[in-house]
Amino acid sequence: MRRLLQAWLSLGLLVGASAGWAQSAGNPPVSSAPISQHQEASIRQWLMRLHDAARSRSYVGTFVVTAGDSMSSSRIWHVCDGQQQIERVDALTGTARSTFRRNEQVMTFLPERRVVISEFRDALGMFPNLLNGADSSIAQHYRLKVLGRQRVAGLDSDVVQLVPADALRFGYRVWTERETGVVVKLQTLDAAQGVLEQAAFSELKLGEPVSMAKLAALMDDTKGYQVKKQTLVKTTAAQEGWQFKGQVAGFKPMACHKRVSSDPSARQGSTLQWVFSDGLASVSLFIENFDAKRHKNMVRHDQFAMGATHMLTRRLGDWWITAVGEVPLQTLALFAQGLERKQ
Amino acid sequence: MSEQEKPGLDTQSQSGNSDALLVERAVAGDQRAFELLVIKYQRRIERLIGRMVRDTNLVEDIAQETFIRAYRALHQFRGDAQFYTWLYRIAVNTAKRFLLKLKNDPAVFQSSLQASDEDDETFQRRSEPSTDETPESVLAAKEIGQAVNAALEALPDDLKQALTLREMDGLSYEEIAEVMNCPLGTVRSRIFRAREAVSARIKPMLDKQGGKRW
Amino acid sequence: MTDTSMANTELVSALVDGQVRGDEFAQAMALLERSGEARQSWHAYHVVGETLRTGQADVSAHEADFVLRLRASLRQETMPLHLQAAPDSLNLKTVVPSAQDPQGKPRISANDHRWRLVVGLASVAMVGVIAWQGFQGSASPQAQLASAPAAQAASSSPLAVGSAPVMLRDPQLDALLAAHRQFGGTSALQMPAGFLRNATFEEGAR
Repeated sequence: MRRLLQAWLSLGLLVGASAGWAQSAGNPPVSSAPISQHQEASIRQWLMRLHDAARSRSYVGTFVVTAGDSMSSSRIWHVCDGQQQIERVDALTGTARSTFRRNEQVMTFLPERRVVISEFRDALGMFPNLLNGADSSIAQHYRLKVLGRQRVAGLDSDVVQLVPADALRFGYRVWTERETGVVVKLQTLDAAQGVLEQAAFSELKLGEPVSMAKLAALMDDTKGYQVKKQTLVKTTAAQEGWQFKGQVAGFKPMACHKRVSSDPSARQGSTLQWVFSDGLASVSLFIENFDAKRHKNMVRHDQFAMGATHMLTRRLGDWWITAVGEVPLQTLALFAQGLERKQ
Repeated sequence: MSEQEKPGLDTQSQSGNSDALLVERAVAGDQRAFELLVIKYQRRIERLIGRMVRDTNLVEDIAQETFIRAYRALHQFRGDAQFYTWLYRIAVNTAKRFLLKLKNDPAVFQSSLQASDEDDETFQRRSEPSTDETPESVLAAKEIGQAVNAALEALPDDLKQALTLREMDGLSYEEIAEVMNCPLGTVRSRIFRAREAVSARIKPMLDKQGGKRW
Repeated sequence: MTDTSMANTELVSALVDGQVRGDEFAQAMALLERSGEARQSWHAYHVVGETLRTGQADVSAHEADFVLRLRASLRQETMPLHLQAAPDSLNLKTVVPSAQDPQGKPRISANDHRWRLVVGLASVAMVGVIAWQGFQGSASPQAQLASAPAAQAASSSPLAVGSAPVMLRDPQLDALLAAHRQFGGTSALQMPAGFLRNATFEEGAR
């Protein structure tokens, strides 16, 4: 990591070199300088390293997520044998649950209900694609700024900031352990560099021996549990009769799912989820049939915030649109506005 | 004021408490972890400040400010030092700053301020009760003290010995295991059961003192 | 006390003596987070210890109030970013995050999802509490879009000052949020931080 940072510095890629960037904390920087190939490659390299570090290491730790005055925490075990990786996440706050992940398969055990939810999450395997776009969004819309060093959970870490190039997205501060590149702390920042949310290891033991066999066995042992499979149907927006006519710089459609309600009495039918991403932030557009009874409360109160996540709802003819994402509300408004029914 | 109050003579060894771990948690965003440290050190810090400042309300304000400053500076605390020593210095500095500010304030009645010039250099036995000690609170403290001693005496020998070795002699679990010739797990269990029994006696009194709202 | 709660409270005693690490420490912290009784024990154990050591009990009538008052102040604090300079780094100022909502809001537990209205804030994002905060949108959606997505110093859109804060529970919003976290998480920062963040939040209420 050190060599990489020095390479960046020598190429003059940092704050001072880019044109028109404000140095003070208050103003979001605006850059009109075209992105250089070097910057693109460096951010990609940095992200690849982060991603590989998380995959290939074994570790045990406690993870704490804070937003405002509330906190959630969980205990994590992660092991990788080079081909497979398994992870277990036990909630320490809120409803008791144990989430197991093996590559893209996720099993969420809910002991209180004796239910385990089994699902496949394509998004987890999407990573390389996020970097290999012809117009790589991330480097276009975020600048990497080296901040310094700090200890997190007793580990020496490098701190960088991903500064958004516009007000459509949030910024991030990322702490990575110096030796391995594992992300140990992540802050989501608003335009004034206020911390919207923080996710961090309060304790982390890298290289801790974790038994893959044991975790796999726990994950597959559904005895005594009712297994519920996630009823998601992969589809395309076009197939469902929708198109996006808006322009939200950097965001590209990533996936589209239809969720069929398992409740036969529900009149709502299916919910469509259309996911967009700029490489770091994602937005989900949910489309359901408009139901006056369910949605009437929402007409008066239609915008919400929770930590870094924002939500916006509105009616579009016979449909009800909900936009959710780790982006500012004005960005969600653009998404909601850009959605159109195909004729 | 006993010798145990002086930082550095804390009979609990460095590894004999979870302060460093709690600090790490707090730095990661868990404010509750910091609150646990506050619960632990609040009275000690207030007594320390009370030796420098007479006014009870002011003592509490300074104590609040001390913990806020400590919270802000937590990342600076290195786990290899004693947390209380570090906190102590913040308290003294905060008190001194308050006093200095108020000294220059013409509206403040000066004799209500400073109790003494000593901070960490000398310890004086307070000959007069501070404004904090009402007759009620003195009585309550006495009752609690008596209840603790009575409860200790009523304990079975092995529990009493384990708790005494830990709290009064400051032995580590390992050392206690050696002295009592039993496994570590047994030490832990005995200390816990002893604590539980003694706390059970005083919890109703603590509740009366306003301790129920944790 | 039941057997499990005895076993749990024993962790608090062990924590007092610095005897818990790793998994046990995480469990002890989780217990102290959710249980007022456990925190009471933490307090009582320390009173017992001090009384034995010093021969004097010392409690005040307002200890819990002291903590509550401090909690309200700490809510406005975010950990400032103080960095050790890297050997070749630029000389960057310390970034000071802005203060949060000065009105002390009641602490909301992690498993209490309540939707809340917020009176028109310059930045909704600043009032980050885990409860959903809803507020009145402007009459026409177009008005919001007028602020172009170009260089603006504004944080999340300023909104019409509307109704007084109201707390609502809405499982529907929760369900969509959960779906977004599970299937919408396409981010290069997903592993591990993004996934862990989502997994830590997930309520699994479906």
